[in-house]
Amino acid sequence: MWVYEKRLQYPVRIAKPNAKLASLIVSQLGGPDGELAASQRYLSQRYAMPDNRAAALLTDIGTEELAHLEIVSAILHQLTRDLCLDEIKNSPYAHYFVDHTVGIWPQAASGDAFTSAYFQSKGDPITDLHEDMAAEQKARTTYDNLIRLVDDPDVLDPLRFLRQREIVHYQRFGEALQNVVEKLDSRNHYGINTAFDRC
Amino acid sequence: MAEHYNFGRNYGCSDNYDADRRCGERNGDWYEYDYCGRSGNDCTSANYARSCNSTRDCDCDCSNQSRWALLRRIMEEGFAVDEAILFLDVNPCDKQALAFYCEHAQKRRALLAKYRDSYGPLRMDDVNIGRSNWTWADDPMPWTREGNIHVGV
Repeated sequence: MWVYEKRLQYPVRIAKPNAKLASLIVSQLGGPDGELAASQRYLSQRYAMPDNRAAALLTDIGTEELAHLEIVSAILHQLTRDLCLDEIKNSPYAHYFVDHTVGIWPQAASGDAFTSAYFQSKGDPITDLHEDMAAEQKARTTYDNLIRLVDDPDVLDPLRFLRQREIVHYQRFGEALQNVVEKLDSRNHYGINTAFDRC
Repeated sequence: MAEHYNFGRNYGCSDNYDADRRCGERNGDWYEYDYCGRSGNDCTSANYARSCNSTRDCDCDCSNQSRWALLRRIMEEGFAVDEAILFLDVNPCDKQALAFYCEHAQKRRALLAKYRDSYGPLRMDDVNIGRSNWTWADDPMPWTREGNIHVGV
């Protein structure tokens, strides 16, 4: 169950349209380390968590990732809504425009469509939490790269916020992993999968 | 299974912390400060709704300034709660974090109620409080430029 709150988690107010930036930032919507993959990764993985604290964390971070999906979508929407045709013709965004006009559709900056192959749900708490920590770092690097390429302060501001959240999530996943490991049989962390080996 | 993993739901905090009592405490009128940079409230929701032909017209008037300042406060308190719940999920015994959560969750609830009463609903169960028409879709959507604040407000 989810309840929508009609506001962004962090404000997005971009004055100048910019087709080229949109064609780059779309990767954080539907790219390999984007917010859609992040949200579906955590919300899918939580069912296999034997530790309620880890399950709660995956639910709450997964929910926050949905809010980040909305922030990235708002950035893309505001960068493209008022574009003139000439601005589109002379930019890499033209390739996206052919199929989606200025609608929002999850794809990578490369043009590849979103796919659930971008994330894993392995059904093993230790494996999944390690993936989650790596995912946060990969998303942080992607935001770092975008921040290097963007010079509009209106766009940089929400990108910096999103980058910071990756670091906090990484920290929390690290604590969740530590909690799970501490409750395992200390003689053999990898001898069993606590989500499957029940007898 | 039990020999491999402790499934206990009680995570063994070292002493009891009465979260319900602490969360129920009131902090007085902390949120009743001047959002508009002036005293009094001359920017009622009725003025906001009727004086603007389009959302763009409202960008510079006082009613929007106070509206955005209130929305900004909701975002701030909402963020404090977002941050606290992640920390508490994995550190449930941290009293300082629990007190932080209680304080900001209470402020957030009060601000949402104030926003609902002055400007309209942000949540589905706040629609049409004191109104005769359906107001959920009245305001600019949150992903639009018009629906957002400048961070510097």
